[in-house]
Amino acid sequence: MIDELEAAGRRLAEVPVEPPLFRVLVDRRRRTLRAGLCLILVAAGVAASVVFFSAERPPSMSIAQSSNETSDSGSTGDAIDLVLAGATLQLTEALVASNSDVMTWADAAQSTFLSVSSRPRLVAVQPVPPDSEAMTPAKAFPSEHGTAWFGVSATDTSTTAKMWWSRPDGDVWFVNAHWYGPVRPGAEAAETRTQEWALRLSQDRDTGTPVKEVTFGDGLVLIDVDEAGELQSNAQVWTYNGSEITLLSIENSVAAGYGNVVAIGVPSRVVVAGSEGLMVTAADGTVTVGWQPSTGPETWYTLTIPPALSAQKAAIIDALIAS
Amino acid sequence: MHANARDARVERLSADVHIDEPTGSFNSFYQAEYGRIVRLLYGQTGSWAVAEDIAQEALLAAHRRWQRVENLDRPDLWLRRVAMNRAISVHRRLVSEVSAFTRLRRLETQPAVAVPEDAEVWAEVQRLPRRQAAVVVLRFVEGLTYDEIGAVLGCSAETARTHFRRAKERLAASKELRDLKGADNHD
Repeated sequence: MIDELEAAGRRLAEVPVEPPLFRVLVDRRRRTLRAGLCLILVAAGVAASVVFFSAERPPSMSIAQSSNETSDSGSTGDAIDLVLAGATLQLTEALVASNSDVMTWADAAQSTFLSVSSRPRLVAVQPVPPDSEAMTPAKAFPSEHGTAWFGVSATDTSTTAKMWWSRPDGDVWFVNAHWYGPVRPGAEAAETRTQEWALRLSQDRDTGTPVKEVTFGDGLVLIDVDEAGELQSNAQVWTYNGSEITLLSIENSVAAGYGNVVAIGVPSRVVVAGSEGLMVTAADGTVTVGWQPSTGPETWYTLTIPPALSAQKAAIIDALIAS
Repeated sequence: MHANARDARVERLSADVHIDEPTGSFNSFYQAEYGRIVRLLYGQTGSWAVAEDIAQEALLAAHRRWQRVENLDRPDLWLRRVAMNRAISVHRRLVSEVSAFTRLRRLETQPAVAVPEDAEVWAEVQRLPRRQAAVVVLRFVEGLTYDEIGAVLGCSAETARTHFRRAKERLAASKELRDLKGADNHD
């Protein structure tokens, strides 16, 4: 292997590389910068219609509610700056986010959450969960609905049920349910309830019920629905006291973003850049904050604060300014 | 109001990039280092487009700080340090942001492979822990000494040597595994 590497290194060193004219390089950087901002402007002109499961925007959502009330056509998502002495913007780059179809619900107390992600035609190539050792076949799953696996885990503060459902239509549904707080189901009840929710959603879809009208009987209210696709995303990285703070924005990704945040741990409410959001501290001390700006298009922001800066999270969050 | 704020932001951000023609010494540095840095980063990232992107970012950073950088003992090592840190940072962030519902990738304009017959070799390097991968490319693409590698990565020469030894062990084990699988398939 070392011989191969030496030879490969020699061959690579001989590959001719012509540096671009420096002025061209600088100009290209400037255009990239402008293009990134223009993309945001263009995206803002697109109405954020929700098509998955014939969903319409729910009349009442928790943190996403104000978007419908105040957004105006043609406005853009808020640009976010970190205005904090000692923080230096290291990197801004455009990314592509590949989203699944995702639906997320939460109860009013923010203690129970349900996210369902659909992976079309996945059964053909991945009929069983890739981490099947951590999941077991469902104990009592009606065979006419396909095959399901469950993995239930619990800590002192949370219970999580994950369901992999290989459906007869060839799609795989990946269902995540989280319970936080003092009142939580046991492992068996968590599996049963998650299965009931998944089957209810499926049956209502078969009868053409709009997803916003699906009721689970547990006080769950639809947060949002994302449509699968390739989405514009932007990452900003600041260095502060020797650590990196990362802010990631993904357009039309509220359900996925919300679901990802509440999957980390016990969420608490927080105000970020004038909007209401969720904050979670992971077991390793990493702080994650997620929010949708109260104006503009459907963009979900995720701020990641490393453990080394967790004691300064309040100052960092306060320093995020929507411009 | 939002549009005005954005316009101001564009101007502010654009103003951060100097557009002066490079001075004589920077131009020489730029001409000498651009290709080397791109090749180095290709070995680490496996993407020519990403390598060029990061190399350009690093050279622009050098240009912005040229008065200070050119007075360093080894501006070339400073440039490699900036570039490698940026490559490691990009990789780490993209890995950490993969989640249950969303996958992220960079915008790549061209999936170029520098030397097609060596693609698998570099893929093995890219599967190494990032510091080990960095040491391997600095050693095999650049031919740097352990002292120089330590200066680039911000560690001692001894630590660089340890990274290299561990990388060699991993690569050897990986090759054995591949050879075994190849033999199985052949049988």
